[in-house]
Formats: sequence, structure tokens, C-alpha cells
Amino acid sequence: MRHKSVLYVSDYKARIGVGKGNLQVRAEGRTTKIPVHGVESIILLGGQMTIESIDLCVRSGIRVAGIRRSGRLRFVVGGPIGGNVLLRVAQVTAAIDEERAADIARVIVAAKLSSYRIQVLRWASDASGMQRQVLRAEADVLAERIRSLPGTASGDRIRGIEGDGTRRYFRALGGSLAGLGPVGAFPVRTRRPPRDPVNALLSFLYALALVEVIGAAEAVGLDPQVGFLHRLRPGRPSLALDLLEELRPATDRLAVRLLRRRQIRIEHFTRTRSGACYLAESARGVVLSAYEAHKDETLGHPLVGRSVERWSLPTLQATLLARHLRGDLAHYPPFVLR
Amino acid sequence: MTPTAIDLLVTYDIRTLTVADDRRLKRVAATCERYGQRVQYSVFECRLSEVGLVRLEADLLRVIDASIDSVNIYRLAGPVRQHKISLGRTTVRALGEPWIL
Repeated sequence: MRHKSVLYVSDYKARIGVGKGNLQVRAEGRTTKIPVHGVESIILLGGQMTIESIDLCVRSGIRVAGIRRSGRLRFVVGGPIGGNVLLRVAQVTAAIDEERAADIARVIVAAKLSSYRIQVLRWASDASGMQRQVLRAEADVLAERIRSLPGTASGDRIRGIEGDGTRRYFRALGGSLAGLGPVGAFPVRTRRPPRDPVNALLSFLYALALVEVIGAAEAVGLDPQVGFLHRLRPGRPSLALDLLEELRPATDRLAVRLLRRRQIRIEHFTRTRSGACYLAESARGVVLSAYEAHKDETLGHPLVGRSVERWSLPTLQATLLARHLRGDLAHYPPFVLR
Repeated sequence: MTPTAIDLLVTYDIRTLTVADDRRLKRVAATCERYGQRVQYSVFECRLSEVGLVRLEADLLRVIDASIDSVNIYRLAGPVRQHKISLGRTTVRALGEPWIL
């Protein structure tokens, strides 16, 4: 059981401040006192923070992140930073060594495509006739792509396989949402901006997971920008994006569940004139509650030999990666969603 | 790897006869508000790590007058919702839930 909770602020009129050394949020005419020692992080979708409250968060080790409604990360500040310089040197050394980076990248892609393949097989067993055969065939292609990974020599090849596998999986995902009507229309993955409800929901959830992963990386002492699969670019959290790959299948599963159970419906989305689609403010509460609840779910982690709760997964994987980079583990054991 | 969570009840009786008493009462309440949430007038529910509990005790000892005031910390055997029966008006947020504002 985790002992800290997340504060989400969505109301653009909300104001986070400090009262008697404690956090408080003034919103809709009420003041809510938030125990500073009980907050893990603050996710801002709207609202304001006073300098005093930012200061209190930084001093208390509370991470503050801002997310745009499109699912783009605005910023992540504060939060515990751990590790030591030797770990950082080991991380950079491995990242700029093409072979070592490729080794880690292959593991990440293999795990992601394995999780994808398992989900596609699940959808296949729920389907019938032609659709079932199509999905089974796609699962076979994914298996073949995974098998082709050890033979790849370059990062570009690995990224190519990842991209191909992901496109196939998203096609299958679109098929499995076909019975939901317009809200489930998912021709292709679009982001920046998302162009339909499924994409808007995925982008939103991925952003929440990215904040977790950035926090976990920093807390363990890894630099979120120095990655192995994702190319290094200024300002891009490549390592965080690498670690996020293993969490995407579980996040997708949450999105599918919300849509299938009709907890999220077409009226929960807004469209801009330019064709972008966003989760409406009124729907954020439902999604955020569901997201937090799904973090308490227990997942099997075959390579680690025990079950883990979803909320602990980012820290667990970041720790395992750090141990591998330090030389304690011969290989990085990724998470595969069963 | 990650510290386990303990659910606690913090209850207090602070004498309120003098101005100094009022100040102490306010400080005890403010201390509890930094660690948990008020469920009744002088009853707080907290979910803390072992380290958090040690810090809470230390912070409370700093503000109470041990010769006059009384604070009790009850450690629950598991998550509070498994051990709690609420009658009448309930608190808005359960321990462990996110704040969504």
C-alpha cells in the first residue's frame, strides 16, 4: 500500500497556496487542506500555484508537473533526486555505446511487443470468424518481429521493428473498439494533437504515466533525458520514454476498459475548430479517479518472479535498469503485461 | 523496496483555559493537518510510513505541553476502511484516494 497520494488540480480558477506550513487549495469557494507529508506529487491541468507553495513542494520533495489538455507535458519540477555520479556516468557511457544501447533497446521493444501480442491474442479469443483469424495472424506477425530482434544491428532497425509492431497493434486495438460507435473510432494513432476520442484519452493517460516514470527515474538517480531506444535530443526525456514503453499496454487496457464500460463516452470529449480532440474538463474527474484506482491493481511480473502493484512499477523498473547499468544485473529484466 | 504504509488515528485533548492553551491547540491541529486529514473535531486519520510516524511524534512532542495535554496515536491493523464503520455524515475523502480539485 502506498502511503502518499496524488493531488490533481484541474479547475483553472483553483489556487494552491500555503497556510500554517501546509498546502491548501482554494477552489469553488472552498479551501481544502492537503497534508504536505501525504502528497506524492501535484499534477496541474489548470490553476495557479503561489511561490510559497512551490517552495514548500520543492523543500518537501513533492514533484510538481504541468500537463496540457492535449497530453503534452509542460514541465516537471522538484521531487526526490537520488543516485550518485557513478550511476550517471554508467548511464551515459552505456547510452553512447551503440552496442550497449541497442542491447537495452532490444529488450524494451521485445517486452512491449510481447505485451502487445498477448493483448491481441486476448482480443482474438473474444472475436469470432474472420476477425479472429485476422487477429491471430497479427499476433503471429508480432511474434515473428520479436524473434527478428536479436538479429538487428542498429538502433534504426530496432526502432523500425517497434514502429511496425505498434502500428499493427493499434490496428487491432481499433478493431476491438469497433462496436462502440463514434467514440471508439480509431483509424490510426494521432498525437500533437490527438484527432479523435481514443487518441485524446490515450494521450492524456500516457502523459500521467510519463510523469510517474520521470519521477521514478530521477528518484533512482537516472537522468530522464539519456535514453537507449529513443534517440537523444535536447529537452526530450528519452529514458523516460524508454521506460514508458513497458507501461503503455497496461495504460491502453485502462483506456479500453473505460470506453467499453461506457464510463467515458462521446460527450466527454470536445473538438476544436482545427480538428483536435480533447478530454472535456467535466470528464477529467472520472478519468483521474480511474487512473488512480488502476494504480492499485496487482500485475504479474514474470521476470521478477512476483506480483507487483501498478503504482510501484515505474520505481521497480527504474531500479532494475540502474542495477543493470551498474553491472549488478547482466540483463535488464523488462515488464511484460500478461 | 518502497516503505509500507500504516494507517493511524491521532486524537488529542488540549486544555483550553488560557491564551497560551489556544496557541498550543492551534499548533497541534496544524501539525496533524500536515500529516493527515481531520475526520472529527480532535480526530485525524493519517496514512504514513514508519519514518513519517516518527516525524509526526517528534513534531507533536515539540508543540504539546506534556504535563497538561494528551495525544493518542492509534495504529490500525490494516487499511482504515476495513476497520471503520461510519454513521451519519462521512468525511469527503478516504485515505489513499487522490485529491481531484
